[in-house]
Parts: sequence; structure tokens; C-alpha cells
Amino acid sequence: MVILRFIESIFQPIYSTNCANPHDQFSLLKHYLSHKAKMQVVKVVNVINLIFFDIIPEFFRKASCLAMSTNSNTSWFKSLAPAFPVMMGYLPIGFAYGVLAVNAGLSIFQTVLMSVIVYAGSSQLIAASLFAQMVQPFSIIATTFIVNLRHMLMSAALAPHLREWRNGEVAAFSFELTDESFGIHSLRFERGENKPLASIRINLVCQLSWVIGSLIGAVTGNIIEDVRPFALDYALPAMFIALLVLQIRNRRHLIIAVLGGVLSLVIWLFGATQWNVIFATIVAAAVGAGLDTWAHPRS
Amino acid sequence: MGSSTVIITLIGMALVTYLPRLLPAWFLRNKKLPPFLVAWLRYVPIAVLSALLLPALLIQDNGLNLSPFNLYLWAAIPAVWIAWRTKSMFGTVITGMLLVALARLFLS
Repeated sequence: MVILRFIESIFQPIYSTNCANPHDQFSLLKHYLSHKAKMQVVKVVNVINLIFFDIIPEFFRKASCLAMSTNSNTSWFKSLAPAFPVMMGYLPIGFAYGVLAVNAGLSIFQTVLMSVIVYAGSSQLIAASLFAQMVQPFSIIATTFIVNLRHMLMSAALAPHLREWRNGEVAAFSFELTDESFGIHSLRFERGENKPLASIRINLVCQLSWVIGSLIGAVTGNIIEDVRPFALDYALPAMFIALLVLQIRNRRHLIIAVLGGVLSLVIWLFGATQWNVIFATIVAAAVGAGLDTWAHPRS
Repeated sequence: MGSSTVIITLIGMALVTYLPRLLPAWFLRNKKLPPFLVAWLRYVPIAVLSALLLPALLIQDNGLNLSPFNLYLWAAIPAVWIAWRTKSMFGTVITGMLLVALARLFLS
């Protein structure tokens, strides 16, 4: 009560100036109120003033000061920023996978288990359709192997940056190496940002969104299906555009990018729809390395 | 397919997915590699991202789609420009998604 009276005394001058203005809506309202009710209104207004202009701004100021001073909080948030586009893309695709897998006859547990232990987008979607067609287990495993073999190239490409890492960190990191996380890390590592824990943390939130997406898909089955109006299906292609453009820094990079893309497209059109990425990458990167080594070493 | 068969299949899938992800990083990270291989590895990110991206933009429903209705392709052009000018991953993603969403809104 002491505090309230103190507040009232602070706001009293403001209240009386308002009162003096006959055009003020607030004073018109007060004209119809008894003295007691008037005091009630003043109290309420004061409390509202206190909450909205003192307590809340103060809270945010304190909170932001705290966030700035405790380094771990901000770096947590900052280090996860690259993962946001991936999460935005993984949730709806994971959802689509969950719907597909449950309709293919997998249980909710099996559907989510695949997202946890396999964690490879396109191969999981293919596997779901193979389960639906009652394909033999060996064929499903062999198909998964071929579809995911391209990660070998990505793992090799990141290897030079993992020199300082412990074995356990390498094992944990590579478990969650996908096309998308590779894209993020290849850019980060090149900038020298290759702290093991921050990298693994990014991978963890990416997989988490994938698992949550597939869980929601598996549970809701086929109630909701179309995510296209939100264009969430374009999050990952757009992210790949950004990651690719950010890595192209000279003419030779551009040539290799065009070569890799066109080769991949042509090989796909010739029917090798599972091998196009691997083959195009090997050839295009070899051309780039050849140019670097023998043509004009300085570029 | 029985429940245990499914679980065994899933474990097999997990193994054949994990090993290609793990082994190159595991064995190459402490090796002194020949210069050509080092140069090759440096070009892998650009080559592989492009090899993944171009078919994703141009192929729809199992065929090449260069029509004006291939939103993935046409939204990519301003997205590339934004990425090149701003160097911002978020800006590119938001621009691309916004364009595709708007185009769908007006085309439908």
C-alpha cells in the first residue's frame, strides 16, 4: 500500500494536468464519475502506467543487459542462426515423410525411429514408398546405400577442417551430416568457424526439427497435407541458392558450379537418377582441381 | 512385413547411411593429402551444391520443366541476385519463399 500511495503521488501532477484540459476525453469521462470512482480510475490508470511504462521496459532492459553480459546466451542464439532455414524446410518435409511412412504401413514408432537413426531426407521418402510396395529388406537397404552414398564426398570435403576434433565429436558430427547441414558447415568452416560443439549443436537442432516434423506427420496421418500455400517447400532450394552463391568467389568457382549443375542435370536426364550428384561432383571438382594444379595455379 | 523385420531393415539403413558419412572424415582428417586431392576436396562443396540444386530447380514430376509455370526456376533468378548482392542467407530464403507464395496466390 505504501508503494501504491507513493506511485499515486508521483502520477498526481500528470493526472491534474489532464484534468485541466476540457477537450481531453479522459477528463470528460471523469466528469461523469463520483469522487470515489474517480479515485479508483486514477489508481487503475496508475497501475497500468506502472506496468506498461516502468515494469515491462525495465524488464526488457534488464533482460537484454543480462543477455549481452552472459556470453553463452547470445552465442547460443547466434550460433543457431544458420540452422533456421534448415529447420523451416525440414519441418514440412519431415511432416510429408511422416504422413507417407504411416500410410505405407509403418507404425508411428518405426516412422520416428527412422528419422532418428537414419536421418536422410530423400532416402527416407524413397524407403517409405518401398515399404508400401512390400519390397524385400535387402533391396531397401541397398537403395538407401546408393541414395546416401553422396555424403561420402561431403564427409571427405569437411575432413581437413576436423583435424583438431576428438574422435567422439567427429563420430557425433558425421552422424548428422546431410546435404543441408553440409551446405551450412562448408561455408562456416571455410570462414574458420569450426568449433566442434557449435557445429554439433547446429546439427542437433536440424535433426530435432526433422524428427518433430515426422512425428507430427505420423500422428496426424493425412489430416493436413498441403504446405504449398506457405511456400515452405521452397525454403531448402532457396537456402541452397544462397549457400552456393556465397561460396562462388571467382570465375573458376563459377565455371565449376555451372559444370557440376549441368552435368548433374544431363546425367539425370539420361536415366542415372541416383548417380547424377556423385558423378557430376567427382568430375566437376576434378576439373577445378586440375585447373588449379596445372593450368594457372594462381587464381 | 513383420515388426522385427522392419526394425532390422531400419538398423541396416542406418548403418549404410552412417558409414559413408563417417569413414571419409574419420580417416582423412589426420592424413597429409597430395595437393591435387586437397584442391579437389576444396571444389567439392561448390560442385555438390550445384549438382543438387540445378536438378531440384529444373526437374518436376520426373521431367525437365522450363515452362513459365515452373516457379522454382523463376523464383531462383531474383533469389540468386539477392544472394549475390546482400550475401544474406536469410534474405535469400525469405525472398524466394515470398515470391513463390505470392506467385501461387495469384496464379491459383
